[in-house]
Parts: sequence; C-alpha cells; structure tokens
Amino acid sequence: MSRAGIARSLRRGRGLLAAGALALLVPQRARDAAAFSPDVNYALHCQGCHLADGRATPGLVPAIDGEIGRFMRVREGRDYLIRLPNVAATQLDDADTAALLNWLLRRFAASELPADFQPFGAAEIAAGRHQPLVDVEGARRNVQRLLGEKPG
Amino acid sequence: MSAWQAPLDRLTERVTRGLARSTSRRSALARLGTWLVGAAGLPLLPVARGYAALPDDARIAGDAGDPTSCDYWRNCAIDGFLCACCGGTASACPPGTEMSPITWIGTCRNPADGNDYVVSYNDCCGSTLCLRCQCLRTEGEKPPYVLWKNNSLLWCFGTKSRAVHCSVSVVLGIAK
Repeated sequence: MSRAGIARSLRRGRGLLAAGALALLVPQRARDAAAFSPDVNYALHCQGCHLADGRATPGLVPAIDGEIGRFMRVREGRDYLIRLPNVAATQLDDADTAALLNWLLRRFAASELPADFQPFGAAEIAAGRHQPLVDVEGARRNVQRLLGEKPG
Repeated sequence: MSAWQAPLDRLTERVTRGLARSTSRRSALARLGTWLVGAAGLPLLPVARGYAALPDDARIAGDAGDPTSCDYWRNCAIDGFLCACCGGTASACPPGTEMSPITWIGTCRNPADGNDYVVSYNDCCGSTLCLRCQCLRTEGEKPPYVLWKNNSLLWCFGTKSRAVHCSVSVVLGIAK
C-alpha cells in the first residue's frame, strides 16, 4: 500500500486505534533488535507516540503519567497494562518488556505507584501478552470502576 | 516627588556619579561585552555536552556524510522527501511547516564511529509535497501491520495540518 493510501485510511483520528488492532496480528515473541537498556527501548518502541516525556497528545494518545501508576493498585490494572495491544505485540521478549514497563512506571508515574508495587517479571508478561485486549476502552473503564474512580 | 522618593533619588545620583568617576565608559563596555559573550555560551553548554559523542558528519566521506543524499547515514530508514533539500536541514523543518510530534523511531549505524544511534523520523507538515530528494530506505522498518515501526505511514499526527511536506532524521542519542 502506498504511503498516501495508508494515510487516507488513518484519517479522522482513528489511526492509532487501527494500529492497536493490527498489532494483534504480530508474532508476539519476535525479536530482531540488539539488547538495549529500558530507556533506549522506550525511545524505540513507545516514544514515537507517547513522546519523550509521556505526555498526552489530545484526541490521539493518552498520557502515561496521568493514571497508569494508579492502575497498579489492582491486579486488573496490571493485567490491563500488559494486555494493551501495542504492549502485548511489542517487538521485545518477555524479560525486556517487563524491564521496560518497570522503567516507564518509575520514570513517568512514580508518585502514583502504590507503596507495595511489585515490579513486573517475565512470567507475568508471558501470561498476559498472549491474550491481548479486544475491548481496550471497556477494560480501562473496568479498572477505573475497581479503583472507585469515575470511568472516563 | 513624594517624601520617600527624594532620598532614593539622591542615593541613586550619588552612586551613579561615583561610578562615573571611578570607571571609564570603555571599561564598562568591556565588562558588558564579557558578560554578553559568557551569557550567550551558557545555554549552549548542555546541548554541546549532549551531542559530544556524535562525530562530525563532515568526517564521513561520500554520500554517507551528505545530508542531502539518500545514502546519508541518518537516513537509513527514511521514506519521503529530505527536508535538507526542501529549505530545512537533516533535523529541522523548513519555515512554514510544523514538525509532527508523533513519529516512528529506529536506529542507524554511524560509519564514523560504528555506533548505532536512535533516530526519530519526523514528518514536517503543513505544506504540499516538496518533491525534491525522494528517498526510500528501510533498515529496521516493519510492514504496515506494525504501524508504529512503518515508514510508509503519513506521520502528521498532532499537527494542525495532515499535509506532509518532507521528513527529517533527528538523532536522539546512542542506542546502547
């Protein structure tokens, strides 16, 4: 497909949702990059959309620092993070994905993390990423309800 | 003049006259110049340190060191028109266009030092296609079903306009 053709299919703000849906098709243990540190992996696998400081791009990309740290208070919140389509399908193995999530939570959401936060491990990533979320918004609202927050 | 302004006025006059007696205009200008030069250098220092590890591209012979060439080392996965040929540079958009904050990011090896660098391929948006220096290189690029690693996509997200003009290759740091 040409660049212009793909661009047309991604207009009206649905592009990144389409990206998430298409991510489900990616082999989940593919790994073709050299081993990099979590901050470099953040740049290579997240920063393109989430920007260097994790801030939101309104209407397109949610903020990392906005709520994901609070989500770590409940098991469903941890599950939500691992099963996000672009996390589940990232081109990193389970251990590097765990290290990346632990790094970005401390980098962008340290003040919101529960005191007893347990870092992600490879086994937890492996168990979750094989069941990517289909209804991302529904899962998000469910976690918000469990935290006693108004779903939004 | 109010009661509190008069003593202040006298004090200012005394200090100024004293300063004029004890210093020449030339020395004052020299000191001012020193401060201005020093101040101009200050904001550059962190930037200079940040890029200290990046070798001078002029040391790279041939097209791999030419920012207007598709073979330029930073362009190892670019798809589009090089902004260096369109009124911008390898890392800056031409005037009148807006750099998309959302983009895709990969790595390119610098032949000058053999290091892999993290490179952000940002589209410059808000004008019609530049149509100069069209390049298509695909090192580390993925098919369209891995959209966040695909360079065929029009990456004008979060910009006022979705019209792409050209693309830049911004070096973010060493990949290690």
